[in-house]
Amino acid sequence: MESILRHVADRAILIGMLLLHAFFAESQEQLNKAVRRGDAVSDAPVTNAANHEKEHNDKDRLWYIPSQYKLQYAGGIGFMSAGFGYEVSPTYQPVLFVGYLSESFGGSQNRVLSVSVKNSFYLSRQPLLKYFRPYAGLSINWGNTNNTFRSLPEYYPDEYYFQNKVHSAPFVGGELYVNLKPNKQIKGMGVYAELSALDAYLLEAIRTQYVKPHMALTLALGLTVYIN
Amino acid sequence: MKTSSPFAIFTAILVSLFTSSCEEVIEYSPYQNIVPKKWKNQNISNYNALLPAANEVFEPFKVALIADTHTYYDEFEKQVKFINSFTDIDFVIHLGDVTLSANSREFEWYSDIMNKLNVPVITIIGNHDCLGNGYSIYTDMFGESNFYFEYRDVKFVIFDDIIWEKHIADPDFTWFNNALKNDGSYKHVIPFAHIAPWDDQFSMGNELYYNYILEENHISLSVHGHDHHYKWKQPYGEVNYMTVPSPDKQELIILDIHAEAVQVERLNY
Repeated sequence: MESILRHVADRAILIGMLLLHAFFAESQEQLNKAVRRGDAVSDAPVTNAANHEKEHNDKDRLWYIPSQYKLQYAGGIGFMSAGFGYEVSPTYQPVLFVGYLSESFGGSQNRVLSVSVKNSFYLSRQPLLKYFRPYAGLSINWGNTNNTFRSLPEYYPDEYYFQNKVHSAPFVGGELYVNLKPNKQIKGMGVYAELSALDAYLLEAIRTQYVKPHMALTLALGLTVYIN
Repeated sequence: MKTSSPFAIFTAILVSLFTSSCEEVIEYSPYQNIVPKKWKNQNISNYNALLPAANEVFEPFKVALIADTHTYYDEFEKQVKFINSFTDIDFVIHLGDVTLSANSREFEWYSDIMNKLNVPVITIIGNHDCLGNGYSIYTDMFGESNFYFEYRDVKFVIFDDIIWEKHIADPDFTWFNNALKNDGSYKHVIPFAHIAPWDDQFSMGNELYYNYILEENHISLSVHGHDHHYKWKQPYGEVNYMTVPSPDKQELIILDIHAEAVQVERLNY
């Protein structure tokens, strides 16, 4: 029975993420239709076709429509995680990830559902050497599994444990970015690799000689699709 | 080609990361329960390393006791070196709390240091080791949390008495009572459990019941961790209770086991 429930939960998470994507896609599609019909979506005066295209790219996106989707392997937030992100500014691009790990999906005897807000700051406005975009930032990772808690149950004395549900992890990474401008839907794609350090491990790397800095690091590999 | 150089450098970094320390640098989650093969069931493999001496007839022997290593990694390494300087210690018992938050790498770092000991180690579960998915990581990495073993006609009873973190009201006293039975073939039966019965995790009933079981089974010494300090006391009457210091205290406790008595040595280093 438990395994059936787990199976259903596994599939429900994946379906949920697909539905979310479908919702975003549908909303954007409606907006695009409105723009094509010439409905006033933006107050900016339309001078020519090129400008119109630019306006459409930068301002006509509904605020909740992500500008990028990511699929990530490892990185401490699941065997695989999927995320969507926003271009708040050319440098600051936060991404919300949902990651999953289970016995059949990553080989952990216990299931872990992670939600992570990855605050990415691109370190260069334009790709270096045409393709390379270095970035760094801080992730806030929320882990949902057995025996994790934000505040302790009553029967514990005060401050008996640190909370163990939310962790932060600074990271640095680099993305190989390929511009696909002629493509209508997809602006570009990127393949990235990054190293993050979980706060608990980082603390031991600083505090002890035994834990060397590289022992606190976790590698993530991923794919980004940037949407027009 | 102009564009190929950053790509080549980037790929080279990735490939070197993957090939050099793939296992170390890949973590799916700090809560993951993925125990490397070499570190599975270590209490069983370590006991097997004590054979055939374990089955031989009694002669006096020494056991080193350590506890609450948590993330005192440097102090723990010092302790390991000190224990390795002895040639007359047969094995080591760790009285629990091998981690601080039961994160996956904390268990691995413990195993890494512990395996630098020249003699086998038996690891007991502690309350910190039950956070997150720690309980199942422990059982995968070391084996059952309640168990006993025999060494030269002495019975070592390892009792999992973690309560709060396992969301239970009582430890398995029925198992404990049965495990402590001496059919006459043992020179001594010695219980080891992370938490001493006077701790807040024990209800008053459980506290007194723990001691009652010991008295009923004519046990003279009960050994614990959790307190981080050495203590030797008789809070309930006859039975001696000892707690073992954490490695930052730089004090090693050795049980010197003779046929007629169990002596305790305290060594500062």
